[in-house]
Amino acid sequence: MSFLRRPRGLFGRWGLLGLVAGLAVGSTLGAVASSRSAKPLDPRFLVLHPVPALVRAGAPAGLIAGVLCGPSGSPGCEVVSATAHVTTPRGTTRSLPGGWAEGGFRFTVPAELVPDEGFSYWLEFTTATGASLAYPPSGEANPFSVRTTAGMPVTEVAPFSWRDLSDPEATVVFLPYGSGSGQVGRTPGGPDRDPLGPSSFAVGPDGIIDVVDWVNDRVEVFSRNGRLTRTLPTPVHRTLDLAVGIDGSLDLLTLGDEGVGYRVSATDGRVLGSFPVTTGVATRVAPGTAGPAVLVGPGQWLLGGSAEGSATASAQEARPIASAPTDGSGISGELAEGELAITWTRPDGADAGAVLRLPPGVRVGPDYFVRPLADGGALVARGLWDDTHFVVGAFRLDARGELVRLSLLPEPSTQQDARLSTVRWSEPDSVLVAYARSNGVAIESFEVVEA
Amino acid sequence: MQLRKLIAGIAVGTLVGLVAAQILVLVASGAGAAGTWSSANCRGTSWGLTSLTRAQAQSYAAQADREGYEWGGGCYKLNNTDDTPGQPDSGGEGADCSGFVFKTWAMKNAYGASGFRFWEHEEEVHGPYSTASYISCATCPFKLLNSKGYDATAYMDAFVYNSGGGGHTGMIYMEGSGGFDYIIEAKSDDLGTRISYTDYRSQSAYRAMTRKSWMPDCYPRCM
Repeated sequence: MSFLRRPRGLFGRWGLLGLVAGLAVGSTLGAVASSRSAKPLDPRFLVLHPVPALVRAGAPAGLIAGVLCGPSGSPGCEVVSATAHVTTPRGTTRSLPGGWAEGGFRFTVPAELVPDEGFSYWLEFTTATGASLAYPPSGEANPFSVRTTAGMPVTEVAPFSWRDLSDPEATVVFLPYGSGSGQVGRTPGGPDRDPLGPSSFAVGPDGIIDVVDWVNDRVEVFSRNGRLTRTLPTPVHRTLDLAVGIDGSLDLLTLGDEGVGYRVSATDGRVLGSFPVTTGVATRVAPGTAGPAVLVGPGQWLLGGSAEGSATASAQEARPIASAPTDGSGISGELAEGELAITWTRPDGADAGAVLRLPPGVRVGPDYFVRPLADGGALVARGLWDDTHFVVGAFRLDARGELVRLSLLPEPSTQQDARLSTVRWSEPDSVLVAYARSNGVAIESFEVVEA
Repeated sequence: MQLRKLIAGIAVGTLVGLVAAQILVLVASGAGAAGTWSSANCRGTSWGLTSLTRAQAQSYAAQADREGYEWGGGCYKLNNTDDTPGQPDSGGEGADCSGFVFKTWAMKNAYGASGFRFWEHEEEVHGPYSTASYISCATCPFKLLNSKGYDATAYMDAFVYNSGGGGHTGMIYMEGSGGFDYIIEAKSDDLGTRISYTDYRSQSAYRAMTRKSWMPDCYPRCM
């Protein structure tokens, strides 16, 4: 039999025709089946909105809200109108249309809607498909609250030198870079690479220091004298912020617009509860009575994640958003460039506050904390900056809101992704700051509260 | 008999076709694995533009949120997923920080060239600029700003640094307060391309920069 001989009898002409047709059909079906394995886009709508924590009474207040929606170009993503629904404690309600400018919708709350008692509001967006979207997601039921500076004393802060920095009292913990015990991971930097070290540290009431080593997926726990006492695994990679919970457990958070909060046992790292952060951009976690409180944008804390089990996204959306966490912290806000307002609750339950006018050219920076003190005053840690300098300003205020002392601390580590967790309050009188050194991370202590 | 042969032919042909299609897909993805993710997935193109508004740049950048990061890379597959998480420098998904600014600002792929060019997200292009060149190039289609104050910048401007053994740049998606902004950036292999609320504006190492020749958002109906 010759190998060149034409095969016959298997299909014949009709069979060959069928074979060609079958090939066409089969290859098409196969291609379609393969293409269906591609992951579809996930439509989503993210509102970016800085809530003004404090405003001047009797003056117009500006609001801005940006939107980020995908898949881009879909009618469901096209916002055709935006409205701010504003209500005053005196019962006045008005709906203010927003105009799109400079990357977001802008609203101006007129002076008559900003009485001393402040106002509340929620935003409503309407899409080209007629859908309505509220922010906060619970809308009218739980609107944002804005307080005013009415009655607060105003203090002119004396000019200072950027070089007039306080010296640390001590290095509380030093963590060399690495993956061993007591070390901490860091991704390398380079000409076009941002080096990233440990992302956050927290201080418990007992002075215990917890450090999130996200590179090695662990939390390292140090005693108040800097000795490593234990290491806990983190439940997910890229856990970037942590706080010591009210019951001593640890609250963990992945950051960004798809953040997830966890509460874990401080003893063994066992997950006690978790919840998705379905609103805003997760930026910081703080202790809450019912679970972690997550900062999802300026002036907006998503409260009560889940102390136990897993909260659902829909349950989360119904939760209120507060302007402060529930750990007793006060609030500070930027009134204008170079003007800072602070309010806190004194031990006797009364509200206290202050307005600080910074020296010319000095701007208000990051809001690290407002810690009420036993004498009725407060310690406020905020960044201060200009075009080439940055320091941490530690403002000691008395119970009347008068400025007692200002200490300037050197610029913290810029390698922590949880930016607001580089500076922490430590009982009874210290501020701890993280610094990135060439060979490791130092957490240093500054005593800033006068006796 | 003829009908039987026809049916048999269709059956065998369909089977062979199905198998062949699957094999082709496997071969293609195998080539990607053996080569790189980008060589298997990046099929974008580009074309010239006469202008660019900040709103257009914002919309373009937003589409890359939640996607990957690749040092020296430039290609995104828009599926809200980092397709190559934790795979540094392996031809994976995403731009790096300077490449993301290059594509979002629709710059031309020749150092210092003025004008505009739109790059599809799927086009694997980094562009000629690093963070060092963003800071140092005086004749390029971007410039440093003298101030980092909120009154000096606008959305889709950027912050950049290159010092101390590191460098990074990210764009202002929307301005915030207290030295913070909503920043959209290609951050790192682990963190991908993302939107964050962060303080580049106030960090001492960062400078503010802007693209030259933004077309006003209101064009052509500016009052």
